[in-house]
Amino acid sequence: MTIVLGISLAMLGAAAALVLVRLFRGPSNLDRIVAAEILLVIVIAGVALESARQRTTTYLPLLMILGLVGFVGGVAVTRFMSRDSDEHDAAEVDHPEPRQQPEGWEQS
Amino acid sequence: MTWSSVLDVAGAVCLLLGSFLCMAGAVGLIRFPDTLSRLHAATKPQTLGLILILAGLASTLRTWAAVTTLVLLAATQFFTSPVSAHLVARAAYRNRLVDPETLEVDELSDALDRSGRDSTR
Repeated sequence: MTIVLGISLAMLGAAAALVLVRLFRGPSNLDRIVAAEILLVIVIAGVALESARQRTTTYLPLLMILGLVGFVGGVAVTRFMSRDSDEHDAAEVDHPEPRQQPEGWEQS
Repeated sequence: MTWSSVLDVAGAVCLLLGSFLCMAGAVGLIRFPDTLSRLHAATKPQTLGLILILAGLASTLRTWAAVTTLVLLAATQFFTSPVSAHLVARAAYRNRLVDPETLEVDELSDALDRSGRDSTR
């Protein structure tokens, strides 16, 4: 068990290093958001490994909170990043009539 | 070979596979060229890798309190990670980070063209 946990922790460390490289280099902020979410998943995995090593349930609420905080943080930053519209230069285009639902899209 | 040792071995295998999947996702995150394919690589550790690690932890701990908490965590991860991945992909499309040459099917651009507006590109 100790050897397996050591190998797993080494793999998680390598993964975290690679993700940090992407977080540093990432051409756009969206790549950084993706990298940050993966980094949080790796942190969750590391805490789970420590919990398996000690065989305690002490860390389980921490895992839960980390999962939820990662989702909320990612969604908040992504909403902040994205534009309002799919259309080109939407701020300059004036819309005389309300936008039509494209044909072939099913109303849901 | 008792049940507890069987569960220990299964948990160790699950932890190992989950860590390997995390590392594979990180390698994909480094090597893939654009945001959408990086998102594809990134959702592997978010779902399957985390599920494997939590299954390994559950079969190591073997108490009902731990199992229910881990199932709850896995369920919330299953529900939230597609939402955030969809949001990131939509923001990438809106910020013109998607290269249409790399797409096999681009239904959103077709639908925007048909709606009579200028499409993104």
